[in-house]
Amino acid sequence: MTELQRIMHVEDDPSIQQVAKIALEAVGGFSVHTCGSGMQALADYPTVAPQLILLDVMMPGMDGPTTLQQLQSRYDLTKVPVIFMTAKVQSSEIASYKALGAADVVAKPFDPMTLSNQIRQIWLDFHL
Amino acid sequence: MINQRISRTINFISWLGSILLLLLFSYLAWRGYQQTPTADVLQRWTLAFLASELLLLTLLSEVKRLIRSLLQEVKQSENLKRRAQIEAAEQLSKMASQLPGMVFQFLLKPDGSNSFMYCSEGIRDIFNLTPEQVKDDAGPLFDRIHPADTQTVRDSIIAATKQLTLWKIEHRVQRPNGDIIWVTSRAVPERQADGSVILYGFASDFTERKQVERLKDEFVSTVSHELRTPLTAISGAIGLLHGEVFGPLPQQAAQMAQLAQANVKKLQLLINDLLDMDKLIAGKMLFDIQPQPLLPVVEASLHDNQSYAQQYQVYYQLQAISADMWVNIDSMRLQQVMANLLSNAAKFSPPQAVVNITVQQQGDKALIRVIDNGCGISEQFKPYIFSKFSQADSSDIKSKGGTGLGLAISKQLMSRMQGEIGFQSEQDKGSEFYVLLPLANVAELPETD
Repeated sequence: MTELQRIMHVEDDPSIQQVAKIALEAVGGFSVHTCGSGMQALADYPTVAPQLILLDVMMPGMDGPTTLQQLQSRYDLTKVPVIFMTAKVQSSEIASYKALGAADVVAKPFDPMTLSNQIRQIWLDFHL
Repeated sequence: MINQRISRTINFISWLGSILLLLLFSYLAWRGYQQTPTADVLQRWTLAFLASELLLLTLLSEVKRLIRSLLQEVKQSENLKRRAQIEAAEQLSKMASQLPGMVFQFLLKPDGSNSFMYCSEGIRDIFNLTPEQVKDDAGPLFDRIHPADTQTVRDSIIAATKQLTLWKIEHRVQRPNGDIIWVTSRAVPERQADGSVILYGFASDFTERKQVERLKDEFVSTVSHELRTPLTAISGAIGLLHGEVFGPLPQQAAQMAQLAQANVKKLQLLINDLLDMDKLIAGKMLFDIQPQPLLPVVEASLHDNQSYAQQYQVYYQLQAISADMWVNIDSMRLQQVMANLLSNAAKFSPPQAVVNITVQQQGDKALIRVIDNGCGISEQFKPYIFSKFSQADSSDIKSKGGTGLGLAISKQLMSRMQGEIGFQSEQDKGSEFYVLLPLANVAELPETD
C-alpha cells in the first residue's frame, strides 16, 4: 500500500479551505489541492490525480453528493476514498453518505490538530 | 286548542248537569204532586229547578273563567320565559360573535348524520360559511377542510365521541379563494338519551401563530447552520495557533488562544443544542433504534465524560446491579442524555466528590440513576427543570456553563425512545436523576452463538 500524499479538498468557504490546507500540510505533511466547487473538482481531477478526496456536503451549485456521483461516473474511484465533511452527522445521514460511496464522514467543526490522523486512519481502513 | 277543549268539557258538564237537575226536579215534582195534587206544587218545583239550573250555569261559567285566567297566566309566564331564553341566547350570540373564533354545538346522530345545533358568527371568518348553511347539515363545513386533513378530522371526531374524551385537533382549511389557513379546535362530547353526541366546542384560526412558529424555527435552523461555517474556520484557526503549528506562542498569547478555544467549544455546544432542539421540534431528528445491551452504552458514556469531570475534580463510580439488560435505544442519543446528566452532576458537585451511577432492573424496565451530593435543586426551580433555556440562576451560565437546553433535549430524546427521565432533589443535599427504559422483548434480540 502506497503512502497517502495527495489530497483533493473540495470546499466553497475560503476560510475553511485555508485552515484545512494548513492543518493537513503543516500538521499531517500531506500535499493538498483545494477546489472551490464541485465543477472545479471534476475539471482538476485528471491533472491532480488525488489519492483521497475530502468533499464538503453543502456547496452552492453542485453539492457534495452530486459531485461524488459525477466523479464516479467519469473516473475510476475504486482506489480513491472519498470523505464527506459535514455538520450533519446523524447516524442515518452517515449511512446515506456511505451508501453513495463515501469511505467515511468527518464532522464539522473539525479539530485541525487531529484531522490528519483521522484521515490517515480512514485511508488505512480503506486499504485494509 | 286547550281553550276549545275546556269549553267543550264545561258545555258537556253543563248539559249533563241540566239533564240531571231536570230529572231530579221532575221526580221531586211528581212525588210532591202525588202527595198534594195542586198546580202550586208543580209551579214551586219548576221555580226550584230553574233556580238550580241558573246556579249551575253560573258556577260552571265561573269555573270556566277561572280556568281560562289560570291558563292565560301559565301562557304569559311561558312567553316571558321563552323571551328571556331568546334574549339570553341573543346576548350569548353577541358575546360569541366577538370571540376570535367560532363557538359551536355539533350534533352527531347515531345514524352518522351531523349538523351544527348552534354556531357563532365566527364561522364566517374561518370557513367562509354562515351559521344557517350548517344548521341542518355540517357537510358544507367538512367540504372546506383541506383534503389531506379531512379523514384525520373525521377519525378524531369518531374517536372522541366514542370514548367521550376531549376532542382536540389542528388542521388546515381551504378557503374558496384558494387560501389555506390553520385552525385549532377543541370540544367536549356529551352523550344524549337518544344515543346521539353533542360536541360543545371552540375553533379558531391560528395561521399567524403557525407562521411565526415556522419563521422562528427556520430562523433558528438557518442561523445555526450559517453560524457553523465561520465557527469551523475560527475553531480551526485557533486550534492551529494553540497547537503551535506556526511555532511556540508567547505565554500570554498561548493563554489567549486557549481561552478563545474554550469559548469556541462553548459556542459549538450551544449551536449543537439549538440544532438538536430544532430537529426535535420539527420531528426531523432521525433515530436508529436497535435492541442492544445497556451496560456498554453507560460505560462508554462514563468513559467519554471522565475528562470533563476531572476538570471539577469529580469522580464517577459505576455500580451495575443488573448487568445483562437489553433495551431498544439509539445508543448515540442515549449517550447524549447520559452526557447531560453526568456533566450536570460533575458541574454541581463539590471538588473531590463522587457521583454514583447505578444500572439495575426495575420490573420490566431498566433503571439508570445518576446520584450526586451537590448543591441540589431549589423548590422554585423544580417545575422548570426540563424547560427550554432553564437554568436555576442566570449567573449559572457564567459560573457553570451550559445552554439550559440539555435537560429539555434529554426529555425529548427519552420520550422518542419510549423512555422516561425524572429526578428527585433536596437543596444543599444533592440530586438524583434517573432514566427508565423498557426492556427489549427477548424474542426481538439477535441470536448469539
